[in-house]
Amino acid sequence: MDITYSDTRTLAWIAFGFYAISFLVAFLSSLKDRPYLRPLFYISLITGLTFQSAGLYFRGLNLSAFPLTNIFEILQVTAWCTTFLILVIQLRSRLRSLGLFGSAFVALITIFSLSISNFDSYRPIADLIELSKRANPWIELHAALAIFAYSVFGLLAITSLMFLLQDYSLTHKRFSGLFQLLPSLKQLSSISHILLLIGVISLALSVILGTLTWLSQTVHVTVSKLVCAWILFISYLNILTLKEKQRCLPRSIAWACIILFLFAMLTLWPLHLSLSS
Amino acid sequence: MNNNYPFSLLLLTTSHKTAPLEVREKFVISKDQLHSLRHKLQSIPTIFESLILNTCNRTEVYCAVTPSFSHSTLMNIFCNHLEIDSTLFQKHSFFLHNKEVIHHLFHVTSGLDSQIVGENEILAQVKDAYLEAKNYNTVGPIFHRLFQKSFQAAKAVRTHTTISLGATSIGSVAAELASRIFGDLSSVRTLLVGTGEVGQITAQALKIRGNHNLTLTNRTFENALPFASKIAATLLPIEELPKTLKNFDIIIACTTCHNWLISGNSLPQSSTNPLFLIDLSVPRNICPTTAFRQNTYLYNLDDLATIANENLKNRRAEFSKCHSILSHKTDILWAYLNPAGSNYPQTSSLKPEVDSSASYS
Repeated sequence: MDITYSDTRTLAWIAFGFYAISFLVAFLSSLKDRPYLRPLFYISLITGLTFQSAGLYFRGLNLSAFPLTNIFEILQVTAWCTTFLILVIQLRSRLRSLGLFGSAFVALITIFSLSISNFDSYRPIADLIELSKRANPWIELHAALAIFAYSVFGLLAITSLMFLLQDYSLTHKRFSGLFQLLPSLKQLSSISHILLLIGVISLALSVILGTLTWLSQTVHVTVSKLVCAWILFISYLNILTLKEKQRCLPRSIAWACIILFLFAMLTLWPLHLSLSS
Repeated sequence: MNNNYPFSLLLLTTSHKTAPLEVREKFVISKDQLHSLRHKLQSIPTIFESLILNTCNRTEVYCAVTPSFSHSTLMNIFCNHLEIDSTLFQKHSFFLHNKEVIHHLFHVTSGLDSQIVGENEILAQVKDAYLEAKNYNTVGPIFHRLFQKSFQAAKAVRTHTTISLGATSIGSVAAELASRIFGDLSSVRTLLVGTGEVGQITAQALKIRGNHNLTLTNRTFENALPFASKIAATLLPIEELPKTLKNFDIIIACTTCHNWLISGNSLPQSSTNPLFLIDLSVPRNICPTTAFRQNTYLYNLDDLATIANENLKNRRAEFSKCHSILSHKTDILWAYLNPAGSNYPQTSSLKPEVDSSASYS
């Protein structure tokens, strides 16, 4: 069976459908102040992940490379990694609200990647052959690690948002609706700490690999991408240090994590420009 | 009661709804009395199955009897055996029959008939009573089905409604808020300033939730000793309060003092660890400006009462939803047990064998 370029997009659409279902299950339950149907939520999330995995796998076969050649693929891989992390954390810590926020996040990323056709421009076969010839495993590892780090930071932004909502709820004494689903401040703080650590380590490996490749083969790595990655890495490392040394209030750290993730998303734009050129 | 039925369900009940505390006190059944009453009911041939539910808020006798069995007989057995004033008991109790019994039991196990609507403890108490009756072989096919279904009904109500959501007492609201901040309370350091009643209840609620690191301080050291030993709290001299405040995660103030015991100045400038301040004193003991301190959450008596009342209101709002779920389940079970139908257990197999070897310990 030949899976074409557009078939992989269909698989991504199906994945989006399942992510949207899992979000709706979590959202409608929280709207009614009720614990959501866990099996239904997990089944739809895992099915979404399976379809997305299939889409990315066949896209990789088409490209003969790791599917990170355009913004569509980057966002798809980010959503895949985030879903995977949500499942791991959910199964370990049973954070109901992380499922709600997390499924919304992956559904949004997936639909965003699908909605702008320019993000996934069709590449002629000649281009693909050229791409596979130029493929450098170190660069692909660098890119994969960077995208994994972005996913971790995405999830970190979600837990930070949940922290701020819980803080708001406790300060303003509001506990109905969504607020009653939120985990404790300490729990959110410790999960954020683990995510920050994983993200910083992944990004550190990524920027080191990227820099070493740039030093040996400047043509493979664009300076703007590398500079953005270094800025992000230093910023997140700084937050981690402040958190470790307890020099900064948790509320400020949560805000910083959200703002930095938005900045990380913005850095995808120059990346998009460099990839499309 | 329809005499064509080969058996009838009968319930004799008294609870907080029919009898005030001073009357209920007189109906308390000791373990020995419970055991002998159980045997007495078991020895009566016209009573096929029986179960006694005996809690601090209710005393109920559930029976599956022959249709000709008169409910006054049950009342007489109960009062004579326990030497209770039958006139008084009659005044504060009532009988239910057949479908009403199922409906009532479903409401009891779901916590809808409890003093604190939606509480979970009653379900465990009914389960214990059922297991005990099973152990003594006083329940048979009718009650096995009836009680198993009542547990399922209670679960359905808790799953499909928010009847048991949110704390409804000052102590449990404070403990719930502490859990929202700290999650696991086992390593949280708590200081109780004063020995006011509400403060004691709150400290106990925190202890129940696993908070074992408790410290108690009071102006009169001797007055604090009994409660400190009761909750296994460390005692701290009141003079050391200002310099030790920074060591605690939760501070509960409950004194009759007319000054601010804790103000913004007495706390460290800022901390990365959250601080939960609970002011249960009237007049207040914790200066309201402490709430402006970063990472600090201040709640007074009014705040906690508002949350408790809100939760209670939410539970009551769910009442009609619960009622319709339970009515539906009652209809289904009654259709099954109703002897007019084909499914009801045969009377020949109703009377459980008397198990004289059952342990009464």
